[in-house]
Amino acid sequence: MELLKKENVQICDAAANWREAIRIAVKPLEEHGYVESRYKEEIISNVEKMGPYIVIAENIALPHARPEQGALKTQIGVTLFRKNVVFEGKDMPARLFVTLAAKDSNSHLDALMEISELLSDEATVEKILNAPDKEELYQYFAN
Amino acid sequence: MIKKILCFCGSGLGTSFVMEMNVKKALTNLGISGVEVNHSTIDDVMPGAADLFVCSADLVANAEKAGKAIGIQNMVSVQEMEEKLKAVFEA
Repeated sequence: MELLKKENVQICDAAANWREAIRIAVKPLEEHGYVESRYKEEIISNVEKMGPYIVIAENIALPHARPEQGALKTQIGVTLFRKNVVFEGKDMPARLFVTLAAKDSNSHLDALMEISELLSDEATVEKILNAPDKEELYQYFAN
Repeated sequence: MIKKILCFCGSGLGTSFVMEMNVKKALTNLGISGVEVNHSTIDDVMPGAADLFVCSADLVANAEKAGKAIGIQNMVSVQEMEEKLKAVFEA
């Protein structure tokens, strides 16, 4: 997957809460100039307003906001938490956070299509959730 | 008759697009053709905007105010989409 760079892949032990988890998951994209510093707070505010629609399946979250909410360049980041992150009002916890920054409404669609294909296979998701290190985690998405 | 399906999420570019792809796959699997499928934000959800709204389970109450709607738990699951669409199309 061309949109994913190894520098934007990380493994973390745990997050204090879902807001912290989103801040952590957006951090690499912010540090590398793909999103403005307000982007993470915009995502949090969207979730507060509209509920945890970013939890797209058991164990999987897709944190994202609109281009005008601080996305500068189209890019993807992958964060794996070892411990469950719980969202208020949602009985599905998440561990794999695929952070999406989209500079417009189209440039990210191919990558998202690939991600959706990849994550629709439960056995693959299981392997990804148990990735021992960042390198292996990256490889699941790169290939 | 359902001729137009609108998938939506809070931002209109991530979750909603994943659902759009799966609605299209599910319709193909069910042998249903001639249905227009789009994705957008919750702001576009209003009566008449589509014959069926598809969204995450959390947002389904909002959608039902605008018309027929289904809420999805697992948005990467074509199977769940297929089951829920089948129920609506056969109703």
